[in-house]
Amino acid sequence: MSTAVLTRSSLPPISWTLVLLVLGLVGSVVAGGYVISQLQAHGHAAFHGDSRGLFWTLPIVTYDYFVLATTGLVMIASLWTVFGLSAFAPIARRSLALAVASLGGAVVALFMELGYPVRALLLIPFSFTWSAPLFWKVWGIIILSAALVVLFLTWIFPGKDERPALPAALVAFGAAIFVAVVAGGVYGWMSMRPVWYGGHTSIAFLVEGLLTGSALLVLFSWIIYGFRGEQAGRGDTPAFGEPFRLLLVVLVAAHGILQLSRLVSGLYSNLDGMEVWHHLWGEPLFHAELWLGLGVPLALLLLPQTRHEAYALPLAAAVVLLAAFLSRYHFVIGGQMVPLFKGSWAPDLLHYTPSLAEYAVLVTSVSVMAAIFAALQLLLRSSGSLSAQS
Amino acid sequence: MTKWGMVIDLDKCTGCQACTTACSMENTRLPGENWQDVLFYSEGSYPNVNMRWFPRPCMHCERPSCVDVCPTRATYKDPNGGFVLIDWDRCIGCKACMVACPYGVRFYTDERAVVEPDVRSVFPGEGKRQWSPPYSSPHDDPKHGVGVQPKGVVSKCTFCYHKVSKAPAGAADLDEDDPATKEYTPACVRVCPPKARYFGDLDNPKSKVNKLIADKRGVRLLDHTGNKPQVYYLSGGAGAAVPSSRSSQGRS
Repeated sequence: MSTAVLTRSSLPPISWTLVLLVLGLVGSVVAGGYVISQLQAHGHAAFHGDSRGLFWTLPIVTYDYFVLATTGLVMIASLWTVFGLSAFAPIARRSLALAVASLGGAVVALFMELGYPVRALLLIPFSFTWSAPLFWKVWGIIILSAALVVLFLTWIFPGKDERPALPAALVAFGAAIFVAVVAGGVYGWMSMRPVWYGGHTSIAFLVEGLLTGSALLVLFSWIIYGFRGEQAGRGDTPAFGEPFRLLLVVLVAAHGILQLSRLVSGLYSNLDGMEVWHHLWGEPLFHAELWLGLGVPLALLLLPQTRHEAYALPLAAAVVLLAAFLSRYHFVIGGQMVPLFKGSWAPDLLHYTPSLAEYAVLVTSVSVMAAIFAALQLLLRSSGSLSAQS
Repeated sequence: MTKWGMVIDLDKCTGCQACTTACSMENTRLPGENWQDVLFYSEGSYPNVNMRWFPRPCMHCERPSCVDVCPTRATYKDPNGGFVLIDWDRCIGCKACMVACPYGVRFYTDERAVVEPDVRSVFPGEGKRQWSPPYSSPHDDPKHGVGVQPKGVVSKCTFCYHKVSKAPAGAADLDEDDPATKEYTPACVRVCPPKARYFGDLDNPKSKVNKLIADKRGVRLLDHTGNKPQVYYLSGGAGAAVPSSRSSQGRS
């Protein structure tokens, strides 16, 4: 069995983790405070959803994005913890820490969106609504969280070099796949929403989860190493070499195939509701997501001139993260753009521009994630656990 | 077991919106957030314009997709009468039911006012109530989604549950012309000037609604979704009442 023992000298410098922590805390307080003040003053009128058809808006886009990233990060860690691929051993712990942080960002966005978040916490798990995808999704997240707690207590905090106990790792891996599939089902099982409907949606969510998880891991590793790609990418994190580059290439390509497949069927179809794809086709941001979001990472990671450069992986990851967010945004909003039974009271296609409060939800989620990740890094470092990881 | 249903004769409906107004008053709706609405559609361009209208309450489906997706059992199918109702004490405002409803009949009113001035600021509500209407309304019954809509929850047409649920046992039809059932008839049915709406027990073979559905070939909206609405439309063979959402694009 391979292990990945690292020396203290190879640890990331503490300074950038502290910077990340401070930025995360400041962002959480400022942006979160703004959202809360707006919700207190205006209720959910501070958000730009409406009963004509746009029910789920930027906060739900943010929530889904970070939930999927969480599932992807757990799956990446599982490459070592479950499947024993030693190339991914050095980043398994960090991946799980980032998964916890990402889940924190997701929950914050959801709580700001819901009318009664505390009631949701109490009622969803114990209402046993077997037919509701959200019931299963929440239970998936509960089981995933429990498995993560066990992994932290028995493996990460003790700083053990060997792989964790298989049951907890296996449960986390299974729960991550389950959550991603059901999260896709929340949209894909709705036959009245043609843009969302289809079994492929869950597959697309799985791929997007892995893609965003991988990209987040690269980017945050790069940040805590002080933006020094040669350290984050090569020195003490060998996982960010060839295996990770290939993984990201495969994921970008898979995501691209799914996106293009959906686009072509959308443009081709005469079905009521699919006219959204024609609208998206006319949007510059959609084309940026599609062509730059897929093309730039692939070029950076495949071209002989760039693929071995230290900046290639983090830069590709940053572009991937932006493109994946836009993809999620276009998917969630696009599926609701055709108003159902509103007649001439509503336009043929609803238009949506997020409010400042909704953007602040996004900033809050990112900040909370950064703060939790940095805090976990510091905690692991102070407990001595970090010497066993990259 | 009673299964209340509605029949709407599109050949009789004049699009006067009396039903919409009566519903809004009866159920203390915020202006523009109409549980019951008459939708207008226009096709073509001048001088070849075709205008149509379509009355649309909640369909109170037999197999409601909104109930299936609700993670807290806040939206439920009442076995006594077949109403689809919302328990406001269990609703968390996740809006999954709104996304899942093929008919767009659910409302989350914690949003920018549809009609100005915002009556919520003119008549501010007490406690969780969104507003305090300056006229009488049914007693708040949050377990059945009746009364002034609280903040943070979703609402919908209740088939005037607060009236219909008190109807005499065994009544086949609730008709405004029958003194015995007049007070139990839903507001939208009771005020319809051309009498385009009928309300009765779909499980009672003697009800007028069943006879109309059979004799005039009543149809259900978006039947292919499998929701099986308890609202039937009579169109007399006049064709689709609701144009395709792509009709304005000039596609067939």
